Amino acid sequence: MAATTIETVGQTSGASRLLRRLLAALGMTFLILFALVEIVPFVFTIANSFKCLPAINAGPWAFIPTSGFVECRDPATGSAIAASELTNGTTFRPSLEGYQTVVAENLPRWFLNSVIFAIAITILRLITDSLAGYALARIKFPGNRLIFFIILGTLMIPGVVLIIPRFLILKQLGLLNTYQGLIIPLAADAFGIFLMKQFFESIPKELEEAAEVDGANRFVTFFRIILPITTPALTALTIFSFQGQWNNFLDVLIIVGTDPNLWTLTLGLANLQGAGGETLIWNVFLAGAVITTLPMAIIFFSFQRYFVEGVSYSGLAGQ
Amino acid sequence: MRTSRFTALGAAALAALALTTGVFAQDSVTITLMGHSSSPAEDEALSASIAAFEEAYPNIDVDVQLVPDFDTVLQTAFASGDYPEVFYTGQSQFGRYVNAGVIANGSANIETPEGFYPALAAVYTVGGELYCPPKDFSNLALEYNKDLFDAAGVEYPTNDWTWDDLRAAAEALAASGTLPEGTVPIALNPDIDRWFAFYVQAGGTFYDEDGNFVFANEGANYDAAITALEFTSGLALDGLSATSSDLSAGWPGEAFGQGTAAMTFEGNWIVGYLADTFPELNWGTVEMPAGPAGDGTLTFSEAYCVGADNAHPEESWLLVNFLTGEEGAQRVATGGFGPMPPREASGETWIEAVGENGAAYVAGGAYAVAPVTPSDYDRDGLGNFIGGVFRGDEDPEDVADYAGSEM
Repeated sequence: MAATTIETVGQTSGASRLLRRLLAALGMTFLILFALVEIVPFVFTIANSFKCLPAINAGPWAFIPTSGFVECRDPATGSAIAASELTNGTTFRPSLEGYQTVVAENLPRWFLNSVIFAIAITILRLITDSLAGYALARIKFPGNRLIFFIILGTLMIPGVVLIIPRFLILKQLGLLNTYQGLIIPLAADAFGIFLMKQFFESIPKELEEAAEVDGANRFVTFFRIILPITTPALTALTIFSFQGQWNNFLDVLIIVGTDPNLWTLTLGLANLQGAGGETLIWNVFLAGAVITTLPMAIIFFSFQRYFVEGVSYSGLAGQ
Repeated sequence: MRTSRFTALGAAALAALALTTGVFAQDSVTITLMGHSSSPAEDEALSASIAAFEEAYPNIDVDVQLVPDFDTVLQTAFASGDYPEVFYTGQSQFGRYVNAGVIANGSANIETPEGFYPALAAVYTVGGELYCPPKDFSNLALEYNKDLFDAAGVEYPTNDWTWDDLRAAAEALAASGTLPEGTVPIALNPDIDRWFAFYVQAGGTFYDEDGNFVFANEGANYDAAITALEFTSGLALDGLSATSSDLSAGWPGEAFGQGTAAMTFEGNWIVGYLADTFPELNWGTVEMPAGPAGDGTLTFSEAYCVGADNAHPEESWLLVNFLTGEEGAQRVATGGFGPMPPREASGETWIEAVGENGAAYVAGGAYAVAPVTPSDYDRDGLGNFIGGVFRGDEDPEDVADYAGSEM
């Protein structure tokens, strides 16, 4: 009797273990499938960025490079080399044409500009947004609420509407086509102030009162006590503003569009895209895309934890 | 003591003033040329032309600004009231810019305007006066794959082909059984610019004498719109043509390059594209087939326009005439880039530069018309409608009614 019970128990647990394994395997298959869906396009972006144009068309799926780089054009005649000599459908002869073109088109400079703009604006926003958010959350002064509503109100105005006034003001100030002309107007933003204010309000007042009792003034309290515990909000703000500025197109176009030395990657890539006229010069475009995407991908992987935290804190993705 | 210091300061200031005015007295003028980037080879050729201009006119400096998303940048500059002296203007924007009053009338300043293709100059003419000299242009022609024609034993297309010849050849290609699996006789998208091309061949016009847009509105134009749509959708419904997406290509030119279509109708932008991407393709061109009303093709062009509110009009016209005059057109021609030179005299030079396949595009310059639609014309909506006709879901009459209505 007892033996049968044990046997039954053993059987059920065996069955459930099997079921669990099956489910786990199923789950894993799904995960692998979705990982592939995400990774495969990236692999082909990289592979195709190393091909000559005929090879991209004849063998877009070829992803195994053979050794040694080739020239895409016959140096004697200047005509393109036939696809049959470049790929067999699985392997392809790599070429640096795409990368050489983007580098010759000043891409390193655009990259540097993107880094400068994104970092400068992010740092300035961290400072101005947290100071403004703190003032609005904690300091009582006449017009406090009014100012806050005005700031919130600017969020309702579509960005496109501001383009021409901003252009005119910067023109009057002689700031068009300068680094400061692009950085200063974007150095504070309503969303960031709102985000910081909400966070500061969630911090117990007792912390500041205790600091005050110990003789700390406002600034000491702010920098030594409050700021260190706002890390989640600051991280979110950093991520949003860095990402936002890295991808910013319209502001950059209007403010520094006529000086190629101040272009960022987004502008440079748009220019490369337009250069083909009716058609896209795929290897050049993909090479540019790889160079633009890789730094963001690396940053994302290194700070993945904070990204997820930041997004879940603010409840907003992208802004 | 104090006075003398002031005197010294005053003298220094005067000297500085004299120096600056001295510099200005040199009459060095800077004018801005704004446009968009083209192929690297074209951009280089433009810089070379500008360098030659600055050498010929040492007192004029040209600041060339090639910007991405050019229309947005230019329109922002217009809105600010301070815009470049010289700028590119596409044929679809020209009318709007003239109405906005930002383009100077060039009729008194443009040199040898009679050298431009008349149809091309007409695009930039308002009330009989040429505002902007054309920069370059492209025309539609028929491209065909020689290997596929040879394999099927069908005669190559000719310049005097009619719609019937086109259809007969497409039927012969399909019936020969020699087309590879998945290959169709014609790659043709149901888009408005191809409908326009066949519409012109059927005798339709785009504008009346008063400048009103009259596409498919009534009478002969309405009939031409229907005839054109029935002919092109007939090709699709009978399986003689397919769209680029049906052929797994981004545009018909790509399908043609990949060999999944024996014929297509594209402009001269396809020449460089095929040479770079499909160097092995054995292909030829002829002029667009003639419809019931004879020859017809479409042109797509750009012009150099001089800003109306302009501190240096003389220098601006010097530059524009330098770039679009007979020598300027010759420079465009010898480059052999995608677009063709705007002057008839340079057509032969361009054909020499790009090869014999260029001849059909140049020939179209004699009768091409520009398919300029009003800025609020519902091109996308019409595009979807045309797609419906090609699938047999919509009636050509309904689409023509919509296209000819006020929208």
